[in-house]
Amino acid sequence: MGETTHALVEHHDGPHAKGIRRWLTTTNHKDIGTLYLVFSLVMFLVGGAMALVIRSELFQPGLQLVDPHFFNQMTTMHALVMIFGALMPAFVGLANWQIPLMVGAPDMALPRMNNWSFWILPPAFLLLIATLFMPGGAPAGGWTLYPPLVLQTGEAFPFVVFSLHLLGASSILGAINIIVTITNMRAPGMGFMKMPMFVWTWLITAYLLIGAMPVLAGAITMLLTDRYFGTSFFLAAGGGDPVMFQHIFWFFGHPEVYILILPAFGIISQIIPTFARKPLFGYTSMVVATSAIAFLSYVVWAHHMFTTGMPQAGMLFFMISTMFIAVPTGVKIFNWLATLWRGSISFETPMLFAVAFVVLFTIGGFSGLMLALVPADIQYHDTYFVVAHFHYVLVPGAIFSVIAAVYYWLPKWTGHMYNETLGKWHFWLSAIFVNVLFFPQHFLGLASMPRRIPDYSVQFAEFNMISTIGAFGFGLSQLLFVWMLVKCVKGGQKASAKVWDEPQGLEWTVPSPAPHHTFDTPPKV
Amino acid sequence: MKTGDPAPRIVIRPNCNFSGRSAVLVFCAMTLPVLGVAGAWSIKGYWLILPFAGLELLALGIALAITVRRGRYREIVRFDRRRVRVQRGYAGRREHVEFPRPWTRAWMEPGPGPAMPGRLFLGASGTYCELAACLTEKERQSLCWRLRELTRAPASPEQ
Repeated sequence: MGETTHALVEHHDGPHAKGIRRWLTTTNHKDIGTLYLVFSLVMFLVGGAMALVIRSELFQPGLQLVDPHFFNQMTTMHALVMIFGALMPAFVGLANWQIPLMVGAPDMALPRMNNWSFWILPPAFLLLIATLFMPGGAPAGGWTLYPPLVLQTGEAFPFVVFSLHLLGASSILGAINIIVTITNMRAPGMGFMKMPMFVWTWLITAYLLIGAMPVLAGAITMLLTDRYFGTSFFLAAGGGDPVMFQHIFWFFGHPEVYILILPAFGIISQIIPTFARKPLFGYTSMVVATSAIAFLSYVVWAHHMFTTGMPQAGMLFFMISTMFIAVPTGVKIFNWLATLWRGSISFETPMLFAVAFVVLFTIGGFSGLMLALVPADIQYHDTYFVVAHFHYVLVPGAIFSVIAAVYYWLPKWTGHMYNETLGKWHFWLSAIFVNVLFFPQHFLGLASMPRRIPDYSVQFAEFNMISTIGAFGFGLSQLLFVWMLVKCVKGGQKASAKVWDEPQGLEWTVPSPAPHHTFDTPPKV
Repeated sequence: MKTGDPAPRIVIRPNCNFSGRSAVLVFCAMTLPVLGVAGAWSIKGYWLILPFAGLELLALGIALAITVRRGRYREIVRFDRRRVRVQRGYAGRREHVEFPRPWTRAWMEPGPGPAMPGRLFLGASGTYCELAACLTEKERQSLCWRLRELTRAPASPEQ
């Protein structure tokens, strides 16, 4: 006979290091989460500056500011920086901060690996951005890196491939850590079906990452061997097939889209119940819908390639499977609306961004459904309609969710409330300008303006001008966000442990700011 | 634990939701689709995906193995009339320490900083071992009191 004590804490931190050494050597999930989020913010500003170069050039027809080759470098780098530098690290940062707090764990399961997975990122991005200054410039063939175009990149090519390998390695290490943390370190009593939705969506996202990343790594390595080692995986002259690269790339690329949006669904599922003061409607169906979206994301890749010439049966399959994704996504939208229904709703800044997410992401979803239809897609392919579609999904979708999450959890992280008035200003400016920026692009696409061109026919001038005004408005609004973040970190009204009226979850049981070592008392689930 | 138990025993183990079997299940759930996809591309001639998939699964396997191994760590403190026996470590490779029960003391030392966790020691006559590093602060405190109660010792010499 005896008694058994379950430990909730594994202490791995030594005494606090100070200054830069603290940030280089930290294994604390909160420190690493902060590093990811700051890095992501910097990359968001860098990628945003690239977007403004693109939009400035497109303000008027004709070539004004940059030459076409540099313009193409900007479109490619903007996408790579925003996807791999801003969005993915932002979600990983949120995961680092929140998952241990939400599952009642003291830290991530593998803290040292967590440190490495962050510190791989800055050198990888320095390498990627340094390609702008190399002979031949940065890659200019688009973020999809299609051969043979991408093989014309100058001396930067192997550096791009290497930096993408590093980014992939970082993502894989992060995903492994998240899977192990969630499966192994939940507080006693927290079964899988008691986990918060953000944790669920991240668990599924981590599985997607594990499945998708080796495919990207293999694809870009084959590009490298085609260019330098005489292979012909994708070179038609040597018997290879460039279209197969598109298949392989999109086999990674479409799950990647869901890697960028599933954690956003989780965030919205945390925020809406808090400000509707009701439990999330249809928790189980949310989990099932998320899993279904993840599964379907692996069988829809060729909808990006309808114009490459595919057997009719293939086009039908990929059209129907793509349209199926609307079902679980619709379940999610329905559940959020049902959660809001007859709720005691208040519209603090995180809620404003969450509601805007639901509305604007749905617009992006609907234009996605249009693109899923083969006859329509053949018309819309490579036009600004596609640009409008994925920007609606990624900007007022994924980025708004990250901003909502930052406002929602910032008081827990810093111990201070942000300025609500400024937050609302930030929201309204962002929500208005994001639509001024991207909505006219639907009309440009429907009128057949091709994407990735620095010059265009004069018939597209007005909508391009409006779009550029929106871009600058949206970009400048984000400076307000940065200023407010700095202000909130430095001080402000003290936040209580609960912060909001009736938030649900273990993270609200610890004081604000969350102590360096969380859960000194075992959490009650 | 019953009062007056002649040979009480305390088992300290880290919180771990995983069994070895569930780790294998998670690993297989990942391996089948990842290798399936990489294998399918390899059959089409794009074999360079396979080594990356293998490397990734190796990393996942190592991470799972480390976690499962950590979950098997145990500290077992047994009390008989004369001795306190401590076993620490993993199954099959546990280190053993013995203290004479009447002389055994349990005490806490504060952490290096205000937010840092304290440490719990058990020892006698200049020999001691640290226990319960994997517990929360509150659990460690209550364990310390329980150990003192069992050793029938007053507060630690430092206090």
